[in-house]
Amino acid sequence: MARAARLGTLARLGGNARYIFLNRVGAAADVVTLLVMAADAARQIARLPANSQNTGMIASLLIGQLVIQGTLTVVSARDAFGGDLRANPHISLDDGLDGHGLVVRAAVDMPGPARLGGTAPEVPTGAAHGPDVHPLTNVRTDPSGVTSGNLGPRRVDEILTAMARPGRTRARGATLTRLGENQFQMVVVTPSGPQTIDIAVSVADTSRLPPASVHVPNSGGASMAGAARLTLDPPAATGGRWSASIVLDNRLPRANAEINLGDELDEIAGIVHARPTATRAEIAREMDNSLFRRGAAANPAVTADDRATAGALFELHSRRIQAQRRARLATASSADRAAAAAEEATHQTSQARLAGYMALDEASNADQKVRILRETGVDPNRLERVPTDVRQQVMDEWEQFLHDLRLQPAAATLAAHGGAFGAGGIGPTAFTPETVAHLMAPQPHAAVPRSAPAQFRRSGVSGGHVDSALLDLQNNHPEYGYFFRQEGTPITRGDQTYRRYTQFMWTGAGPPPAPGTAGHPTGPGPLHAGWVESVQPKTTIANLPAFLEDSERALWQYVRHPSRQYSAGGAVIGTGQDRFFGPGAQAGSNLPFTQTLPNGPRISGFFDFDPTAVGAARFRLRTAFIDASWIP
Amino acid sequence: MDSLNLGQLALSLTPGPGGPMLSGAAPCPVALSAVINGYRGGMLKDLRQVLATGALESIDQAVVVARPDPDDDLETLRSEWESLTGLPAGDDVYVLKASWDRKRFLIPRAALLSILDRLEAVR
Repeated sequence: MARAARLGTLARLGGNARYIFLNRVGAAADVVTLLVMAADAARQIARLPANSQNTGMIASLLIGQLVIQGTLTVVSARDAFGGDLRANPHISLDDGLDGHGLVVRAAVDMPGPARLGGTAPEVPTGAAHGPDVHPLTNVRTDPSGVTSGNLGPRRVDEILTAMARPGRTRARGATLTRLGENQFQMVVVTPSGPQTIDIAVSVADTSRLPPASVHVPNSGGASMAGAARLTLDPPAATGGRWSASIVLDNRLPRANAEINLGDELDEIAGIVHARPTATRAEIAREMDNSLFRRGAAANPAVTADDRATAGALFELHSRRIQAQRRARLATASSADRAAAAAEEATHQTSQARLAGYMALDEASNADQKVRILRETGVDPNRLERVPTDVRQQVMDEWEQFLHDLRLQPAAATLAAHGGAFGAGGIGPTAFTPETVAHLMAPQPHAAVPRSAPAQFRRSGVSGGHVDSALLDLQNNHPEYGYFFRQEGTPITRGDQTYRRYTQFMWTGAGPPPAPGTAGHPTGPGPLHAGWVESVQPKTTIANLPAFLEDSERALWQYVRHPSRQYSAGGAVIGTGQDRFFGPGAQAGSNLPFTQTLPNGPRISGFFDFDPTAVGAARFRLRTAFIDASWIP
Repeated sequence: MDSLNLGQLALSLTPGPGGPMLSGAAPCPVALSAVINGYRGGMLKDLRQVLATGALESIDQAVVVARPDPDDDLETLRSEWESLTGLPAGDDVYVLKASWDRKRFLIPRAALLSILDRLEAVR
């Protein structure tokens, strides 16, 4: 290394103006090794006296320090250049005047990397989302008070090596193999055959991360790139290897480094799987956010970045729940519990911030967003990384998170509803966005698909009383294996249609029998043993706004019923008029009601009553549904 | 406001049709107030018989009372009962669920029967 430092040359690589050191032999046709480091590190070495006998030793010590700090990475030149030096940027090598000194050229902004044989499109640079999503707190301070990143290449290599263990896979079933320190090979199976990607991973200080070409807000401004960068270049020729590079911010804590690495690896797998013959322009599109973008148009294309970012969000969620569990472990030491609580808080912040960058608070494209996030959570490759003892909780709370995403569209529905409390009612609506979301969106009985058959048998799918939404879960989420068999005769009253279903879940091996065939709930003969039948019926309505009005009307008629007597503590209070509107009215939650409306439907539900609130705000519906026994 | 106690857990009551219901005020679990109030409101018609005989389950359209199944996280559910009431859960237990709330609640059979009896007594 010392000899190389004395004899070598520093050069600038492409438009990123990062500096490399390579030995003189490497400057010839067969370049073997590159040392990638920050420009100021290269300058520091370059300022060493060229003709001093100590130069080699000092350079060696400096390089060793850089390796320990993680600000220098050794890469294979062939791997870094995708095995084809001719197709990559020129490297300008500048020897010292005396032929063996060190020379550094000042960095010059360039529009793009120059290429042999003319100008070619720049290799697109993708990135993780959000500059403040992950904490950049993994730093060390030297005696002079200067801080630097503490995430070294060896640590990164450890993380990746663990990811590359046999049996572990990334998105789309991609497998990872370690070739050398921070040199990995990913194989992605595609419809047109397996594709191989050589991946080089490095770390860099925040200020040295390559500029990203993605995540520029619709409103303009700078890229909202986060703590990792990704380049992906297709093979120079058909059948060749792809090449990719990942650069991590060296201030990332280990857990966050894992999440970012996973994000980028999944993005590579997603791109290669979906587009095995992608051009650079197509890669650039796949690297950008589309669905998870503030101000996205309706029904946008879903990119590999969208899916990978959804995966990163799930990983943050999963680790938050895992940390939460450790923080509450009675058998853990107080120090361990405190550390786990701190980790939980950190992940919670990261999750909230990433959700913001993904525009999950925007009502637009809510169904599509939930669909992608749900698919992400139940991806077998991702699920198997969640420890089994916490998997159920992680998935349950993920479903709750997805449910909460429905609040914005539910609030919009509620706003359109306008707040009538039924004829003769007292004003605004008794529904909340939470309740409307419950009615609008069915939630799987258990977040892990086809699990917990006993719970499905008893409870069936939760919520989802809008017919189209229930059938969407059946038809567009086959991973859950649900089938809803319509029973009896639907009832139509005016612009409303009421239906009743029996709920089934497929738990057998392979795909379920086709509808109408033997073994299917709609087919002839006995039901296949792979089906679980729920004892819980599901009733639906076709017209949600009309149902909101009917439910409020039913509740209003119930609480004002002239003959129902209320009592407590042995004393009769009086009718509903006295109980809910008289002096001293008492609060209550989860109070049941059942009321048959004059136009037919029998509606049941639960509500809360708060006598301190004003007007209709005193009544809050928790749920409302058509009584199954009313539909023959 | 009247209340009834389960160990250190005080459950406040509120007037209901034909007798008191649980007010559902914190820290009363949603599933508990939904099941008790649903029963008192005419749902879960076989609940008392199921509890008396220790049968498998009592199910209605929005509320479920059932013996634990293999997918229940019994350790967590038991510790929630014990931290809420200060009473041991034992093995003779049921798990309660309301359709609009994902959280299940474990309760000993005797405790659930006791609530029904005491509410009946103060009607």
